[in-house]
Amino acid sequence: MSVLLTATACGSAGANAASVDPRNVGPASGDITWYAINFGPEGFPEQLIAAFEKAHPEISVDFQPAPNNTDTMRATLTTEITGGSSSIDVYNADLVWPAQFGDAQLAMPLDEHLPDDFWDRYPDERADLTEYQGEHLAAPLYVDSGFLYYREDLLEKHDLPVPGTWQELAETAKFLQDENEVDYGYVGQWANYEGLTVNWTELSAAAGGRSVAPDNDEAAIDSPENRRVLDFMRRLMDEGIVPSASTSFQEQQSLQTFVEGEAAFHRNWSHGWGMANDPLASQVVEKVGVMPLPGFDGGEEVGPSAAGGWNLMVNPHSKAIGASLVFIDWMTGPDAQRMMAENSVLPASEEVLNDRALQRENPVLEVAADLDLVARPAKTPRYPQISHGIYTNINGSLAGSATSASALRSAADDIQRALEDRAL
Amino acid sequence: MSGGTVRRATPRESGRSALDRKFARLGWGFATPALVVVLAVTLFPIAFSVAMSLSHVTVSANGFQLSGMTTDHYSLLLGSDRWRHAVVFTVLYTIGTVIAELVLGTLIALVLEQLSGGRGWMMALLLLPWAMITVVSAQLWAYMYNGVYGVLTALSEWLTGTPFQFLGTPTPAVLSMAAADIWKTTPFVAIIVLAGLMMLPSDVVEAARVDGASAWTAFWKVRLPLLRPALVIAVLFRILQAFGIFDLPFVLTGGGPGDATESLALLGWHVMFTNLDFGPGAAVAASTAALVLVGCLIFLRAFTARVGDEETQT
Repeated sequence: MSVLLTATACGSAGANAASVDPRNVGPASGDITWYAINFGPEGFPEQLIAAFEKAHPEISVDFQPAPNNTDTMRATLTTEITGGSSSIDVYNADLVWPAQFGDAQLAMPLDEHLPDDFWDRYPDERADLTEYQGEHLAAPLYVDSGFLYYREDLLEKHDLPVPGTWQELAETAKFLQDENEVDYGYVGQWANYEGLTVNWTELSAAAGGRSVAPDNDEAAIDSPENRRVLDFMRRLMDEGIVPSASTSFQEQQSLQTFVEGEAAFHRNWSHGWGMANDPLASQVVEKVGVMPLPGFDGGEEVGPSAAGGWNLMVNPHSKAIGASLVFIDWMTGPDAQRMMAENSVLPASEEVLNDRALQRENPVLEVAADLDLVARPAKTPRYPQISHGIYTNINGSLAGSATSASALRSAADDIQRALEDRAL
Repeated sequence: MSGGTVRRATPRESGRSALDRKFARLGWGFATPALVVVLAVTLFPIAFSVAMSLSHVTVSANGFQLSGMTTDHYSLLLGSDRWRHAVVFTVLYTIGTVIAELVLGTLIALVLEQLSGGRGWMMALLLLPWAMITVVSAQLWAYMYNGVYGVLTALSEWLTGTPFQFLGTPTPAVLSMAAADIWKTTPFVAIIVLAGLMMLPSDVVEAARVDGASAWTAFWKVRLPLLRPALVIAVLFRILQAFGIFDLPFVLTGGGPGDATESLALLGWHVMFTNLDFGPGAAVAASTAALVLVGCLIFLRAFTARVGDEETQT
């Protein structure tokens, strides 16, 4: 373990090294299994492993790809870990999991085994998101945020400015549709799933709304600000600025629509940049600009982006905790984080994210470094029910089955039940 | 089964020789390992899940801990709009798809029966959708229904001028899902009904013809009643499968829009594996099993009552 701790970029390991008992965590060598959804370009996790094994020949890592769906992956992990399996040592965990996994003891608390200054490598708010009941349960691996991608070529052609607010975006989009430049003005992720909670959280925050009160004890979704946001979303659909198919759009469908040149504006995570500029997949290569999400009339100039991303967690049954900690230390350290930045994966490390040279190569990195972030209300183990209360009601309303007012009332009711542990 | 049928003497009644008993013992001996396995893989999970639905469940890295009896999980279900909605959806969906499959499957079987050559090929082709894994066929339908590049959406745009949203609004989403289900499982009904048709004694139908019955009367009055056993098997299997529908809503709609297509199985999965609430999740599973059992019993009862009517008429 002392190898690990002196190897950390921030140093000052000596004092803390004493609190680590190698008898508890096992030797910092051997074989470990890393379970993760593929991320970055094709074969990227394997490249990271190769670099790690070069730096730490005493440890070998077996990459086990997870199904490409967060919910399915959580189901598999829950089954494995509650069943007492130690076949997975380290796994990638969604940003919104720490409270739930901490509550169900599916992840090992890390503070006992990592030095206090380990968390200095992250921006404070990012490290906070991994805490549950005063303990860090996860180490941020990479981050993600919502970005607005837009057709730079079309704006230039018609001499239009980039929109500062959602209302301006709607006007610009409508104009480009009327000029027959694009079929649709805007595409996001409005299907009946977690992604809609993300889109909703961003729009709502831009208008000054929120879904849960700050101390996580009361629903706050039924507010005039949110009414305005939902009415606005419904209007975008009614006017055809957003395709009516949006109520079944997840990341892939919306991105597809944008890269085929059918939409003027598009909200997506950072991988939208790489895909939009991939000549094999995209009709809009080098025609795309990226910027933070817009604000809302009367609100802030720039709208906040939802915080997303993945952490590393340790299976409490792991027989190779020592080696797993070395792996976590390296993966969140400068070498691996730089590799991520060079491969269009947003690094969680503050130092690498703010590296000017890297930012010049990848404009998304530069936008990401200055984003105003908004977190989903995930600091409670009841988050899945809260999110369900948000996305089903908003999606139902967008699909035309409820008015904005009654959708928000019913969402408030669902969220309140979730907070009081009375929700299915 | 009132009266009518001829009872045949069973081997037990005709007396059993020592050799018979020896074979019977041997039979039990061979069957026991299989029985143990069946009990272990079916009865144990069912019993455990019922126990889980009735206890306080703590999920932790050490597995499930059950403690104390409680009916909280069931009161949670009964007080939940989400559960009630899933029940209504699942029941109506089952009734709707099973009726459609029964009618279509029977029609297809009647057509196949008339074919003189190529029936084998036709059957093989027909069975393709059924043989395909549901997640795969669901994925296929998801592409066809896709609101932007789906072939069916494009077709609807070509026909009407506006692209129709198959999965974007509640009622069309339910019907589109049902269509995918009917496409996939009608062949199963058709094959079973066809097998039933092949087993019908040809002399009965010929006798009806000789007596001057039209083809329609002969089918409706003679062949259909005789087909009942095959139809019952097909319907029972379909009720059981349709009631547990999971893959289609999981892939096509995720239960949406809103909660329009959230089946009981999907709800149970979400409660267990998204919310990590295993007690209430087990209660959803147990309620599903209870409802499907009641559904099958009602169906069988209705069916045997009608058989009775038929027999008293003749």
